[in-house]
Amino acid sequence: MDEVRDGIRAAQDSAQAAVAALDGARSEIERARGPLMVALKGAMNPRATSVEVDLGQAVEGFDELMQILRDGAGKFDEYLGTVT
Amino acid sequence: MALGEVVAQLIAVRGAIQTAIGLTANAADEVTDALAKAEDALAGANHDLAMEGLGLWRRAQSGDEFTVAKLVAADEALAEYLEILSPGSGAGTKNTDIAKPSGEELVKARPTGSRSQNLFRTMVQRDNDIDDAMKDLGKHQKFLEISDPDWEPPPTYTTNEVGHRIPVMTAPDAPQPDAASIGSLAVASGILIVAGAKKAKDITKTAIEHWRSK
Repeated sequence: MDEVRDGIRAAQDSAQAAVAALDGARSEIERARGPLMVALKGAMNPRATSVEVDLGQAVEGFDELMQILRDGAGKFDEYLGTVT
Repeated sequence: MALGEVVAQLIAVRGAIQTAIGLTANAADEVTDALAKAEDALAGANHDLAMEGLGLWRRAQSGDEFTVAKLVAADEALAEYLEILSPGSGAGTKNTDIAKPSGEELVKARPTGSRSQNLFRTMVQRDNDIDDAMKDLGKHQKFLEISDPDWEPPPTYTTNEVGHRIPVMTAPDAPQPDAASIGSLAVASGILIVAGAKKAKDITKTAIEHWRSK
């Protein structure tokens, strides 16, 4: 059982590292969005306007992914609680 | 704001996007690692809570790939816009740090590269518009929402109607076609197939039929 617990803990550490990386990526994009909006103000080119849409969806994706990873880790905590 | 300032600002934004792409790709690799460790630790255990945990992380894996796709699309759109604002200046150069292997190189890379890295490379080398690709992908994800008790892992490769080999990737040890692994397959096969051909819809359908017939 110790092996299972240690293995799950190691997996959770990797998931936590993923959350940290996603959080960093989210911060980068959030920081960039303000200047982006100023720089693109009035731009009519469809490629320019699609940038903001794509980045908005990416930020939503980061939030959702971080939550899913945390929820997954929580499930494993519950699992370990039932078997140890 | 003067044109030069706009260009400088947008170049800085591209830098941030590319950093975020790198971080998100790292996150995808960590999730892949987490899944592998959890699957090893569970070694065939079939407890509901453990399966839910795995399912959630598989969902995160496919979501990561989607998010990288959005960031790459934003970066490329910005590059194209910069090329319009400042033609020939180099500001709109597509990211040359990202490997752009040929289809054959991609196939060779598959056994050693991580799934997310391969997807990422493939998306970069795609030859049609990413938004169109994702719309097609969305349609096929719906098509793939099935629950088949006789499901087996899909082949590593399938073949399109003109005989090209197409990599198909999903969680190899998934015991059942749960929503996450199906979604993951849809993302993987959809993007890869779209990357290799313009007739994405027909080819995706061929791949799915091939998979279902296994």
